[in-house]
Amino acid sequence: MGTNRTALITDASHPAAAAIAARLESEGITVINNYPRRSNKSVIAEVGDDYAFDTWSLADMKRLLDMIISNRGDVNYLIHTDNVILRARLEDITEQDFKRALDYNAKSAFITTKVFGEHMAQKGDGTIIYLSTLHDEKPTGCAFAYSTAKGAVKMLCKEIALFYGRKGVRANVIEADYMEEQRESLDSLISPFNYDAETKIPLRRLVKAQDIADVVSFLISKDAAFINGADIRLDGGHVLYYGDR
Amino acid sequence: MAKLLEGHTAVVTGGGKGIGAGISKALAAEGANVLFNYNSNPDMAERTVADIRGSGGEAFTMYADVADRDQVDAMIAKAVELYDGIDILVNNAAWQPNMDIDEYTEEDYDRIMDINLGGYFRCMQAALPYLKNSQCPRIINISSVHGIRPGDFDVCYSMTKGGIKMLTREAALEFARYGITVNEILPGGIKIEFKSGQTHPFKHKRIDRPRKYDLSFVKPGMPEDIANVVIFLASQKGHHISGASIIVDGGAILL
Repeated sequence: MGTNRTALITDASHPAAAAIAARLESEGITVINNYPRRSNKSVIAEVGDDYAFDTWSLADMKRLLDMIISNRGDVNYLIHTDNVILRARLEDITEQDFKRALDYNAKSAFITTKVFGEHMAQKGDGTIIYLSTLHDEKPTGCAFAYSTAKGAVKMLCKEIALFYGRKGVRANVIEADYMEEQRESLDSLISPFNYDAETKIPLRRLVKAQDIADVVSFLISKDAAFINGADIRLDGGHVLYYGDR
Repeated sequence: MAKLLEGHTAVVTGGGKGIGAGISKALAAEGANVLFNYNSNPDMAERTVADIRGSGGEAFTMYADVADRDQVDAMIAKAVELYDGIDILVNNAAWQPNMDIDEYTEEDYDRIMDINLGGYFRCMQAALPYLKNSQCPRIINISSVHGIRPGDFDVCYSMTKGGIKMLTREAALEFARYGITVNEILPGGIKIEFKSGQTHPFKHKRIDRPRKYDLSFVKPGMPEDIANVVIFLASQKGHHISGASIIVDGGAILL
């Protein structure tokens, strides 16, 4: 598979994005990399398929879709990778930071789905993958607005699996554990869950970018043609470790 | 028999109608002073106050938009002014426009997030200083079964309810040091006046199909069914429950 197929990675700055892109490109899929949260909202590379549009802006995403269609044709896979861990306590976070965390993580999923999901539904074919976190179920103890947003994304996926599923577009969530690059962002003073994780994870290591790329590759393949609305936990069994104190 | 919440003070958002009114009445019946806000229906709110006072309880209502930080602060300040503190916060106010993703505008999205999620966050943050001083501090978030199962009638409503699940769990973890328990209740179908949506909530479901099964045993819940769980969680008996998601739907989710 992969002939004339195109995937959009919504936030190519995710630590797993490069591995995902390499894996998809090795399968013959054209990968469009987007870099949100940058001031220059235009093509950021002379050669290639890199863009810098804000994923939580409907106007930006419509413009991105138009540019991709113009340059490359249809989008077949939406891979939502926006994953901004904003460390803050509920007790004293500002209104602005709360909204920012929700926009970066949840609104970006909603807006990209609204634009690219509808685009794929009109073709009657496509796959949406939300690269999320196990913190859509397990609280972080350090980034409440982040997990609140990811809880919303989990339900977005289920609603979309119904709504766009009827139009030939599948949607699934990957609930990944944290990668080495995200370790400090999820360090909590009130929850020891992520502390010394390698000794708690039965498989004795953190998730790697390649693990995530493998699941993404599987979910867009024909082998996963009947998987829709699923939450695929990718944590080596980490959440099974209960009662850490 | 002694009342379970004698002398406690509760703030209930959207407490004038529907599930919220059932909760306000039940809290007052157990001896709590109840302040609740209204946003769109002052008449129903005043009726609920009259019902509570007519039954010997204490209640006060005022206008407040939970999407507005200043109005939330004013509501919390009023409760403290009237009743000298807050022991129980029940987040309940929500907007449910019943739209699919292709019908939602960006402004609609921002609005429902600001009310259904932002409102819960704002009220928790504003009430926290007073809950810290309570002997029996409780936060109870009213969510929905659509926080765990899609409803197929309002994509963003479900998103906000999925968000409330994590907001509840994070708050339970963060506020444990203050002795505050935080839980969510997930009601299923509750028999109340119809909500604010413009479209039929079951438009994607084949409700016209012949009924092969006798589902008459599945009864819609009443606001009192939710209120009973609120009372339990708010009382001393619920002191060891925190971070829980309690489904109250008569088992309908199992069908």
